[in-house]
Amino acid sequence: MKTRFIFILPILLLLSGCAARVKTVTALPAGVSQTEVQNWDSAVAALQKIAVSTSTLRQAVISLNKSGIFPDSSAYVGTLMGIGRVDELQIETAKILQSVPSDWSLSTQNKVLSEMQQIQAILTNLTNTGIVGIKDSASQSQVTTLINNLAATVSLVISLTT
Amino acid sequence: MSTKSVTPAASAGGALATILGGLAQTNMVVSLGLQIGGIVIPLVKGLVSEIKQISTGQKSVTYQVLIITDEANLQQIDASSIADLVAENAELTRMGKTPLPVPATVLQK
Repeated sequence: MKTRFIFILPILLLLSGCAARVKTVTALPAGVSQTEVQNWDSAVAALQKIAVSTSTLRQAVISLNKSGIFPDSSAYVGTLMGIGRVDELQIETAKILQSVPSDWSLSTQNKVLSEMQQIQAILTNLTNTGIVGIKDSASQSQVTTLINNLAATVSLVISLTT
Repeated sequence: MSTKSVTPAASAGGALATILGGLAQTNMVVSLGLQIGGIVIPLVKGLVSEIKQISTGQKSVTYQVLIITDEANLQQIDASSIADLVAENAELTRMGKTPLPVPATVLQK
């Protein structure tokens, strides 16, 4: 019997509050450049997309477990812990960005880069060793796609630091 | 304080616009619309429209509005991440595993 399941997403609420991505920022304080503010804003926006995608991934994985497609196992535990670590890194990154509003100096970039690289490594590990525990190949493929898109957004943030 | 619009520098901002525009065109992010178990999750609309807006650069806001908006976004990120951790820990606890540490504080102004 084909298992069907639905997970409710709070994503639309999150998306409705997404940051305005801007081409031009007016009324800049003295000493704050347009590019610096835009890059900081873009990092915030991308981080929010990462958070939304991570939350979707978490809900998908737990839903698959509830439906029996991703049974309790070391792979399931590892996947949960990996996603949890991504959540922790998101919080750390948000605190970095909040502590230096509009500051996209090299120091800020390096801190954010470090966080994103850690997320990238976790996502690679999730793909290679975590979600292999999903028993249905189609579902595994779909979760893999979600992880890949999450990784693409992480790469966007990294591109801001180079 | 100046109120005059400033043209972005071509380097970093331009590179970002190119990347985002490319993503939108190649639908890399469109696949975020999930279909699992026959159910399509419409995750894509807000994301793609935002990316297109960035790549075409049609928005203009004041610095103050930008900072306030992004502050709210950072708090949302914090809240959703903690919600995830709570849900993940519930699962780990159910299986007799040690839960992950949840940050004691949330973002504060």
